[in-house]
Amino acid sequence: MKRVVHAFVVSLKGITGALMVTLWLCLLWQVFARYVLKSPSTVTEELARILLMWLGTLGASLAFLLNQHIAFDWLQEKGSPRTRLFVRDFSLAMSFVFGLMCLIAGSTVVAKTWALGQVTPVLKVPWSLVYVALPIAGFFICLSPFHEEG
Amino acid sequence: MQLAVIGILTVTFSVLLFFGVPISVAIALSSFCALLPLYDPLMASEVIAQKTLTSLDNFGFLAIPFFILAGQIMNAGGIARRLIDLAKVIAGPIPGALAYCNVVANFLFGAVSGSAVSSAAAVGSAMAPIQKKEGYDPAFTAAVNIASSVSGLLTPPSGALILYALISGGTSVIALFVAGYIPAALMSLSIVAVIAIKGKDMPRGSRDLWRAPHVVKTLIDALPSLALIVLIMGGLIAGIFTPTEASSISVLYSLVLAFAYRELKLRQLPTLVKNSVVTASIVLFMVGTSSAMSWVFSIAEIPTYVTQAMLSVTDSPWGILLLMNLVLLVMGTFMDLTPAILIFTPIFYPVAVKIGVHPVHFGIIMVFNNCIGILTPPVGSSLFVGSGVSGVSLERIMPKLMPMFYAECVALALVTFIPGLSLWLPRVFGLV
Repeated sequence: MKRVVHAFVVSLKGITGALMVTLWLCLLWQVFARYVLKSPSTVTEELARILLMWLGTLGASLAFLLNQHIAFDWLQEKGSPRTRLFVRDFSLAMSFVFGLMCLIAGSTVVAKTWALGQVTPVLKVPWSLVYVALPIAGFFICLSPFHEEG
Repeated sequence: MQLAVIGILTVTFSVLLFFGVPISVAIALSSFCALLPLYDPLMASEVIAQKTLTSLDNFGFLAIPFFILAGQIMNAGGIARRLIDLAKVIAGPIPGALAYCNVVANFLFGAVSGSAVSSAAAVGSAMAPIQKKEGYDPAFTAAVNIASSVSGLLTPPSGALILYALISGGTSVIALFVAGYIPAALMSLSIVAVIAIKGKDMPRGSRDLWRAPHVVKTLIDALPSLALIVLIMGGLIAGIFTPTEASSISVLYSLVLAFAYRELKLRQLPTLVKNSVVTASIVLFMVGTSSAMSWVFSIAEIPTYVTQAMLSVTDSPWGILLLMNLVLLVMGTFMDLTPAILIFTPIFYPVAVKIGVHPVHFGIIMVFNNCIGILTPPVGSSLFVGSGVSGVSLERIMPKLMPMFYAECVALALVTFIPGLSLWLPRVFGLV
């Protein structure tokens, strides 16, 4: 299991890194298109917004797999060994429940928007494709009990 | 019904938070539970999931990952070190010079990176060994570093100000950026005052620092880094680019600078990108889940409820501002900056507007307040980072930090009750 999670972590790092670089190029292109080419780009603006939603959700699932989300860790610091163990398991269990919620609810949202056939205004990307980030992130969050140390 | 929603939300959120559940998860699950009296479980979770994703569909939030990345590059690329050298010259040969230098360096680094934690780490780790060598009390210097690191959150390109601008529904980011300079300077001055009182017997800086050749050389070295402030703020005020585009230019500029200084290696970049992705996603995901929570607030009409409750206690604007400050200070000790801004902006913003506080002024009050919050245990990111880089335990730092905490509360009171401190500069530039 650890090896599977490790493979996911490596690929998520690659994907989110690529998203970040693409977003950066989109933003630089925006400024360049407006001032040098004198024609503001609506394509890169919409693309950037879609990629940001993907970056935020997939990056967050990476943070779950690396166990780096911010929490109030007073009990974890000050509690007895038994309390610490309980706190660790409880927070992992809650993260798992949340991941399951994203996986199930995300899938139904994808199915609904697919049926409605909604697309984004400029690039005509189906909204269902944008929402796919939710169940994917949910799946990874469900694996957070097997997290690596980041 | 309204009370049931408020009750469920508060209780489940507090319990989940207390037992160490990640904050974004605690926000999402408590919002989910609060919706259960109104919707069936599948519907409620669909709403939460959908809000979490679509609230990120905002061009403005794109600035957050890139200002974080720029801060990381500045930290690794020798920009922090050059600003520290400049700060040393500014502090000069007075007693306690290195403590003042720490405050100035944090202000300068904060003004290019907009981050408290980067600042506490970059400046603190560079200063602590020198301060120790010259005979400063490590607990005192760690406290100075921690207390002054947060000024960067009030100066551009502060992620906290960007978040407030977007959550409050369109307060001008540029006006907030400009408004933050004087309050940030006031915050730094409050620490300077504490050093002036406590630091009379501290070691002096070398007289050589003020020799003309050294001053000129340091200034020339630091100039390209300081030019970033002019580039970004000039571009924003002149309307050449948006804050989001400015963030990408800030990355480009700091990359060029770091490579020109030959302090950043190409192979370090993937790690810097990965760190920024993770840090930014944690913030963005909290933005997502807490906008689901503020949607729950709005269907339960919690902001209206809070406004009425506050107005029933007192109807003087000063009284209400004082009340809000107290609540935020107390909550700020338990909550990190980002969730506190995300949760309390939708609740307090309508109250503030109703009693006639300018949205830009209120944003500065909110962020200033939460800056003080991250200095205090049990949750204080600057405190933890500052203690970590200095290697001094929290128990030893806390007594030294307390006077600075009080000094910053005085500065907060001034900023709260004198609107001109925040609004004068944006007015000069015609931004409000």
